[in-house]
Amino acid sequence: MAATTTTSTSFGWTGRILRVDLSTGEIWTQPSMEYNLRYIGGRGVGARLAWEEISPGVGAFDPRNPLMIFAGPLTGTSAPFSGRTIIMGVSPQSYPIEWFSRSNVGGHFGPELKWAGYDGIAITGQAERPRYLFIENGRVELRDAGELWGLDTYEAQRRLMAAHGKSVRILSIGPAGERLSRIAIINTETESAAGQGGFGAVMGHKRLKAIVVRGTGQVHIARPALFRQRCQAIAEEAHAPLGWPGPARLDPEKVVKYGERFHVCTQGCTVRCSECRWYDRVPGVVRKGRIYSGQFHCASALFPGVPGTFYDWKLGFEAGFELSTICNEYGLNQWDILFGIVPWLRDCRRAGLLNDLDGIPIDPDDPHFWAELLRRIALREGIGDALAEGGRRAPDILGFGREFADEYYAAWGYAGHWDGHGNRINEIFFPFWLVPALQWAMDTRDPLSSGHGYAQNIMTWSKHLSPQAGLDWETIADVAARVYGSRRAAHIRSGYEDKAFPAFWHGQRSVIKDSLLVDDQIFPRIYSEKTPDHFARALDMDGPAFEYHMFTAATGLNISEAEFERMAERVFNIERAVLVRNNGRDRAMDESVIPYFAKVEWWTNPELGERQALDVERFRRLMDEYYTLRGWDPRTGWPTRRRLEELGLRDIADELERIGRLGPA
Amino acid sequence: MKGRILLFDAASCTGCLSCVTACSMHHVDAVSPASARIHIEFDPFVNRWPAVYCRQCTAAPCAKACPVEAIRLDERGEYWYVDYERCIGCMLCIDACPLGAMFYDPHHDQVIKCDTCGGEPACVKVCATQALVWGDASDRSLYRKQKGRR
Repeated sequence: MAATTTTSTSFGWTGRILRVDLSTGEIWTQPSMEYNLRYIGGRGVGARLAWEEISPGVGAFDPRNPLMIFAGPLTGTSAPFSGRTIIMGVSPQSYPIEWFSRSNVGGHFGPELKWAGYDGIAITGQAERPRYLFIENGRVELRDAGELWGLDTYEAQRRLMAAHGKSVRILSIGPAGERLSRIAIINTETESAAGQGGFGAVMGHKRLKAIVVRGTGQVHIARPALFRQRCQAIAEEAHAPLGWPGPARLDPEKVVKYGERFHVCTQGCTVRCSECRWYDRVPGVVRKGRIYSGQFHCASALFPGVPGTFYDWKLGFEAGFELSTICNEYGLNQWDILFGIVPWLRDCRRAGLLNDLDGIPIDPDDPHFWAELLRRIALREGIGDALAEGGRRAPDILGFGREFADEYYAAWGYAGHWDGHGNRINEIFFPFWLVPALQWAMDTRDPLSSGHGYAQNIMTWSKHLSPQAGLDWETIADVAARVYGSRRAAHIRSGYEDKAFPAFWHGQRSVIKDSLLVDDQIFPRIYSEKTPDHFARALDMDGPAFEYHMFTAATGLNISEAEFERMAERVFNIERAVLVRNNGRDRAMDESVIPYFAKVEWWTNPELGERQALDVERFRRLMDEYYTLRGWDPRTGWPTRRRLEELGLRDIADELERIGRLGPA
Repeated sequence: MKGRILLFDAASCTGCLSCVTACSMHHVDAVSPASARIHIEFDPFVNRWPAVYCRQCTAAPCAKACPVEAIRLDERGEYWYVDYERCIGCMLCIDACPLGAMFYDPHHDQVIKCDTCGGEPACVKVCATQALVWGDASDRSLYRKQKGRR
């Protein structure tokens, strides 16, 4: 393509999608404004493209599977917490069916893509030989990646930075993605990744080692003064670390020993995060003589082992940091290994089903066991070949331990997350996990990636988890009532009452965050330590409307808040329609989460004093309520013509009717 | 004598680049790293990276190099700014700056430099860890390193 400077007549969006066909080598651009105005951007546009372009029968490892990498209208602007990127396509990790899903990545890639002049990239086909995609504004090339193939994600990035300069931003895969592991990540920088979904394997299948972007263009803002004012006020309101109360502090010992410091996981994050850290020159334990530096956050915190919890292996910080780094380098999904595979292996050993990995004893207290495990998975050696299919599929392949995997995998091939059952680190108890249970039932993946807003917010804002700065249960219910319309939606003794609406509402919020894109740990902003009534506000904006106000000031779109939410609901419906059409998704599938939640919970609600399990019939009634709110048929779980037409999706209603999967009027 | 100064502490910078986007937004009502008067040379594989911006140095080689006296000191003597009425676009100032802190903005076809937003730097307002601080040069507490670690 000829070099062009970016010109833009649109605000927020760039108005162009970059299209690449790896089979033919063709590169072109597609106008995106028609999509943006209906589906916001990011996940919303990806969902519509999936409806239009992913035919039934297209699996994850099909050249026709489009790998979509999207920014949104706020990406690359000065909006706080706006640096993330969404990756979509048919997911190899999805279980038991490979279906359309998504994964979210931080770092600095998305803003650079916008500055290069693109709202997103959609890549189809399969290259004959390893390639990487190089984007520098209007100059886009597929380049030979023969020398990069086989390299780990860090080394691949270093080589690309050496070739193209330090200011490029890179997404890359490691050996795990090259070998089509269903738990292969797309990595950027040291520890940011599209971790869940297995999209690293989609890149591997396409023989696409990396995407390198450099952008020097601009993103225009429709109402600059208003946008500046709103962004500043929102950033200040959210200046509490990571959206929950109390200041984040560094560990003085680690500051001295390992140079611990604050480091963002994502561009645009303006908090001193209580999770994300950088460590410098940490000595290797397994690989003696090696020294590791990099980010450490999120699931990584489990690597060292957390005494007094279910994840109480005794590796210590140095080995934990090393193993986290090795995992990133191979390009493996830490969540699946920490919350699924290793607990599962431990159970199998205890039950006498498996004592060793091809001669290496299963001992989670031994860092050498972990290093061997990661190597075998990444390189598909021995039992690693089965484990590379992910902790959900491995028991099926190996023919044992299925009952243990059922403990950890909530649904769709994803290990638990703020669910009160299989995830045994994020403390949450009945009735609060009822909402995540509904979110899990209705999503295509672990819904928490952009759906922390209910479960994590309530728990971390409570005095129970934040004794000093947290709020009491009655205050939480008061604040939540402003959002959910009922105190019972988030009251500690509310049982099954009013739990469907929060799940419905956070479904839209998840789309909004993934489409703009903004960070899930911060938005939606509900609770606050800065207002007398603890409901978040800034200027004339209510906390939950922050995204709307940034969106309208950036794009100049003159729509109401209700219309904005409708855009998100439209996207949620399209995603459902894609799965209904392509994969036969229905209520029976949604209900497959029930056995997991019907087990007795891991923690105890202190006000109830007794551990609870799901009351299946009452949960089914909650599901009825949820379908009714969604305007979907409660019997089949299929969307109805009425709601689809209200959302402006008549064409989708027609198609679902044609194939006999439209809910009755 | 210096008035207020803008300092950067690399140990506290988290790499969020909010200063860059806020700077661009302040000056041109759009966001582009090429329009920002501050560059953060973020490198994901190292522990520290520099911030490049005009330090409002006393000698001001940029102003000396300018053939038309377009780079001028503000009334309070705090910052140098480009008088675009005079600027002829020769770019000699870019050659002259020993810090590499005079930039060319292709979107507006002009040289750009930090003018401290006229005494209220937008970058400082968005910096969560106080890696960037703005204050009186005679205030020694301003110089304390690793401010973000408190």
